[in-house]
Amino acid sequence: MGAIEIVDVHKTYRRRRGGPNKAVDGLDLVVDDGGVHGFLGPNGSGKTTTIRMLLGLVRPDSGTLQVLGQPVPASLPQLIPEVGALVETPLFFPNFSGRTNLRILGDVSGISTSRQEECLEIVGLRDRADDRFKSYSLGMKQRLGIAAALLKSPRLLILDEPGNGLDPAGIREVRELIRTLGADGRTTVFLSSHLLTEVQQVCDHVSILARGRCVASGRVDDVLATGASDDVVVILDPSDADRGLEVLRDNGFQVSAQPDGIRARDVGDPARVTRALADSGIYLRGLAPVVADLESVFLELTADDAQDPTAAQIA
Amino acid sequence: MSTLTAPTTAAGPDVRRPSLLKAEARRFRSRRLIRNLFLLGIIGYVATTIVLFTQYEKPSVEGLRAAQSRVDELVLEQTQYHADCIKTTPPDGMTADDYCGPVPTAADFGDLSNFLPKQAFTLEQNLPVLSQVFGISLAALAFLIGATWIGAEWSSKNLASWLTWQPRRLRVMAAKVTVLVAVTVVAATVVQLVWWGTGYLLASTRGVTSVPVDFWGDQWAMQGRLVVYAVLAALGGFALANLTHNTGAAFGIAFIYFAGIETAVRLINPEWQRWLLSDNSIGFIDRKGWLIQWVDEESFLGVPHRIFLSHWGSGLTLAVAVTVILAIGVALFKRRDLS
Repeated sequence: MGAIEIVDVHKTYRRRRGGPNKAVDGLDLVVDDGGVHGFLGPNGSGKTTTIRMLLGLVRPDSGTLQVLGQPVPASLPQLIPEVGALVETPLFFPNFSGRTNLRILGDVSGISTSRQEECLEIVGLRDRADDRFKSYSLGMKQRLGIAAALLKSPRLLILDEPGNGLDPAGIREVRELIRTLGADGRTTVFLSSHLLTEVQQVCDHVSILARGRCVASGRVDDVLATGASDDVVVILDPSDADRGLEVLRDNGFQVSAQPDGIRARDVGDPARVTRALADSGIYLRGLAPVVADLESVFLELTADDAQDPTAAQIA
Repeated sequence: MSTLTAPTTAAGPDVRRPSLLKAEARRFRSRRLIRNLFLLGIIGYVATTIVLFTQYEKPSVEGLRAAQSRVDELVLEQTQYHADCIKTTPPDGMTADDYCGPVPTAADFGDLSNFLPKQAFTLEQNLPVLSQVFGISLAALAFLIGATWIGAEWSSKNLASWLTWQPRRLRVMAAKVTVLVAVTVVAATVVQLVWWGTGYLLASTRGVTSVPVDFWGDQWAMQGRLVVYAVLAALGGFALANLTHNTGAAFGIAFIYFAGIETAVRLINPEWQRWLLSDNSIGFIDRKGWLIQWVDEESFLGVPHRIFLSHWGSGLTLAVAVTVILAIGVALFKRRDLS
């Protein structure tokens, strides 16, 4: 049983002006139990609409969604005690204090005052808990949103851009918190973010959305591998750089000069590079494989409008 | 910035009994605007009561004697004027009696209480009127509270967040309506009871407590209807703000309706007045119902057309109007996507 299973879901918003807007277009997605699952996509790719559909705020036009093995929105009333969510900007009553806002949520779901205080402590807001929500900084609002999402000790924690408004230290703290939650063996964290490095650092799995469809999904390493290449960066003594470039080109390599060295594309066996240079009396100072990062994979998968939209499900 | 720490336990939270009503009640009593409106209402009530105590006075023997003296003086003055008048020659075709009128008596000057420096508070006359004044004031306040109760949630977009805790939309809306109705019933009942006590105290200390036999039955029934009226007003404000997703829009619609639409209806077809909310409000809260009268070219011999709005008929009309608006808003809330 996956924490989230989405099959062929479509959602189109009908607007008064500008025609219909296809937000989600045949989305298939599986999020396994446990760990941290990143949910990436450019603005307007359908991430927030998907999250809203999972929470019953938006109804899909077609397709099925399951959360913790139960269909949504039909089973949400039974599921909701096990699902914590922070969707975009935390929405609280602006004139109430942080503590009163949590008290109200505690009343709704029957969560004790001690748990509420614990969650305030977890996000480091206890000292400011009696201040009005509207007086909070964006980062503090985000922290209160995380506290609210944690109140239920959820099995599935859905976080939509939890790093919004946080300073670098706050982002790091949230990252550690997410990592800890994902490692507890009980909680699945579904993390929507546009901070690619953040996702790369904290997530075990990732799904990438483009134009309302999932274009890649799997373990982070495996997704990164789709962007991997046989490229290498050849580092030479600066006095040999021009000649090295020429030698490699003469030996049939596709090369280009870069600030950090010479990039040789699709070299296959790196020994071919060293041999070609050595035969010409040029000796390497370094040879580094070009490692794909999530950003380049993400950009590659989402940038091309004409790309094949079929999702690349990675084992 | 303080440090985020991981939860101390992976186990489920320490659980109490979930209560949406309790949550809504906490939100209601935590809202500053509502607290201030209640405070304003209490201040207004106390101020009005103080003014009432200063404006009425039980007639003393000295006061009655002074009033009687004043009446006697006036009778004497007028009798002298009449005697002088009789001596004059009346205009052609008129007798002296036609010209000068009858000999004045004390009865011509009305009740003796008119000559007292301050009026006495009478249960029979003053209690019902002021019950209506307080009841209508509370209804206006209830409309405001009802509108802001749901309007604030729409404007802060908090309803979406609310649904991630309780996804049953009808239950969420029912809890809000229940709390609003409960608070309005309690507040309106308290106001009517307190006013009844205050009025009786006023009559006892500064007026007259004697009333006709059937007075109290009508009075209690009217005060009961005023409680219901406050509830309808609160629900009306709630329904309009829920429909428009905006507190201010609810006031705007109410203003346009009462200032514009009702006036237009009266001009276009007076017979439709029977369906107007203001006429039905009067019909519902007045002790005897409301008789609408108007004259037009079809009125036989100038006799006005008449439509009587009874308590039951008016109450039903108001209830149906509020229910329809409320039902439309709730149905849309149940179906709509929330962002």
